[in-house]
Amino acid sequence: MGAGFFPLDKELEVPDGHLLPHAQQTLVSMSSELPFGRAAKHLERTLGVVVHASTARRQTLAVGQRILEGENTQAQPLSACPEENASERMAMSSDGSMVPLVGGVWAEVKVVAIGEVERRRRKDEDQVVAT
Amino acid sequence: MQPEDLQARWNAQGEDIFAAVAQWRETHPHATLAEIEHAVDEQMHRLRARMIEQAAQASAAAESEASQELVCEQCGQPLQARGRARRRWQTHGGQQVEVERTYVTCPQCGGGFFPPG
Repeated sequence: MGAGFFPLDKELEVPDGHLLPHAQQTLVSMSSELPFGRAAKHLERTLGVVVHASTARRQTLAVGQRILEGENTQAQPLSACPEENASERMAMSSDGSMVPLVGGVWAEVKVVAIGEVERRRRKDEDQVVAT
Repeated sequence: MQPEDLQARWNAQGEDIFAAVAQWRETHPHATLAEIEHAVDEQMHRLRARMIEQAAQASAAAESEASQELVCEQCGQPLQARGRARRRWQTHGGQQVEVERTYVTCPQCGGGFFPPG
C-alpha cells in the first residue's frame, strides 16, 4: 500500500474542507441547532464566512460521523484488546446493584472482576499462598 | 523562520493596520459606533489572517528539512519529497489563509495521492 501525504497537514491537524478550525466548529455547532441554510446565513452574519448550505450539511454530517465512531469505539473498549491465553488458575467475583436513572427508573448494574491466580512463597515461611 | 522574525513582521503589519484605521477615522469623523466597529474588525481580520498564515507557514519552513528524515509507517523506507502544493482556507471576515506544503511519498510502497484541498 502506498500513500503520499503532507507532513505539515498532519502536524497542523488541518480540517477537511475550506474553513479554518474556528469557522468550521462554529458552522457545525450552528448546524446542530438550526437548519443548514439558516446556519450558513448565521455564520456569514457573525463571522463574515460565506458557505453554501450543502457545505454546512456535509461538514456537520462528517463531524457527526466521527463522533459516532468515537462513541462506538468507547462503547466496545475490549474489541481493540488482543486476546490473551487464559491462566491455569483464574478467579472471578461478581456483584450487582440497583441504580437510579433519569426519570425515576431503576436499573440493575452488574460488575464482574476476573483475575489471574498466582502462587507466591513468603520470605520467612514455607507457606505458599494464592494471590 | 525565527520567532523574532515573525514578531518583527507582525509589528510592521500591525503598524499598517493601525494606520489604516486611524486614516479611516480621520475621513469619517461622524461615524457611528457600528461603523467604527466594522472598520476596526475589517482591518483586524486582515491582520489575524496574515498572522495565522505566517505562523502556520513557519512550520512549513522546518518541514522542508524535517521531511527528508521522515520514514514510511508501512515499510520504514525514507520518504521522498515530491513537490509543494498550496492549500487555501476561509476564515473570519471572509479572509483567505494560504499555506504551501511539501508532499511526500514512499518510493518503496509506490504511488501517492493528493488529498483534496
